[in-house]
Amino acid sequence: MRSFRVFVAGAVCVLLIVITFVWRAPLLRFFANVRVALVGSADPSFDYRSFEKLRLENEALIAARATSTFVSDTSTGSGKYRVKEVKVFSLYPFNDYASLSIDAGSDEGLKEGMPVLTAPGVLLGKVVVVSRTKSEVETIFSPSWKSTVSVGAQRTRAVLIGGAAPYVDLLPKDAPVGRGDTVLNLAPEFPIDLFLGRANEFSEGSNALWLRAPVDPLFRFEDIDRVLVVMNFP
Amino acid sequence: MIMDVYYKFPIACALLALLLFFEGTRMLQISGVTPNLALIFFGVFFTATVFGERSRFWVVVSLLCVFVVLYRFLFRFWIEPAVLLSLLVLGMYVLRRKLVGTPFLDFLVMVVPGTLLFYGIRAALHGAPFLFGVVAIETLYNVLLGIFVWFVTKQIYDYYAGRS
Repeated sequence: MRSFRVFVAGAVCVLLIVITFVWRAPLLRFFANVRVALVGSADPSFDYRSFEKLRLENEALIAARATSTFVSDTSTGSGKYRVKEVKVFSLYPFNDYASLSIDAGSDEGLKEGMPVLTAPGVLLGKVVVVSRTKSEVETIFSPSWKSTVSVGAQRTRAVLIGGAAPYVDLLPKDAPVGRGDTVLNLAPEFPIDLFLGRANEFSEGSNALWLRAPVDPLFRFEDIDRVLVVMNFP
Repeated sequence: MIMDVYYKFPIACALLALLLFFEGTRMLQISGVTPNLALIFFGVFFTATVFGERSRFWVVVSLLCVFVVLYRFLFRFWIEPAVLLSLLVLGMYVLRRKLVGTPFLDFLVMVVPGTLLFYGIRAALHGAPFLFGVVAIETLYNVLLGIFVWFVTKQIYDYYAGRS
């Protein structure tokens, strides 16, 4: 009897591992959805993920209207850039880096350096490694991320430093900036004026010569389930 | 003893796969910090009396191999951290006789230096800054979650050991 129980327990677990291998992508998405469901459980009628996307698109439209830049969705076919929507496969599981793997690779035409967006007009990161069917995307939440940005209506230049809480640094002390100013991309590796977030409390940097401020990207790294890869840039 | 290993090992592998799914979706992330579930798993695995002493070494090595293979299939990229974590765990296993000797304290001793060493070595390998704030929060998170997991595992094991 005991050996039969041992056999059944072993067989069930081997089956679980086989399922893990064969259906790893849908299982990962299932766990991501469970997470989103738990986050949105306070209000069952509220779709947290859709809300986050709408909020982001709204912010990006505000930024785009101010700068006359527009990045199209594949569905509309209009606009300056052609983008491809790709599902997120998994997130880097430790805390010293923030990248994600996406479900498209060289077979779909992806190349290293391609800009990656969370919503039309909202920069998330860039493709850094491409395999045949998957690619790795480094995001602005990675501590190694550094890019040139503009802050506020006067477009003051600064540097965006990545991390779990990204921030802008090297702003002149007399720069005409204020809380809530938009942070837009100026780095030549990405389309100009892509939205990166809103700057919050400005404070003196470590050497008292520059200002720095945390940036609220208006989305969370762990909530990203789909991304848009800009296929025709530069 | 050997029979025990035959069904406990697949259970451990299945549990490890489940934890990796949790890690791959950052299910337990709080304020941007996610716990190192693999380290907690191996910490509990070493210190809670789950496997017999004689069979432990090859079980540990096999489980670490399963961890790396599962990790490779689930994440595709970032294999280096998995290999580093496996080597750290194996090193701790080899040095386990030098630890305190009390299972629970041994567990804490493994989780805290394990977390610090993991990020310290990663930072040194890549010439990246050591993110002290993030690592400190994760260490605390690992310890708190680890204490919870350790006691739950012990209760379950004691229950079934008492029945058999």
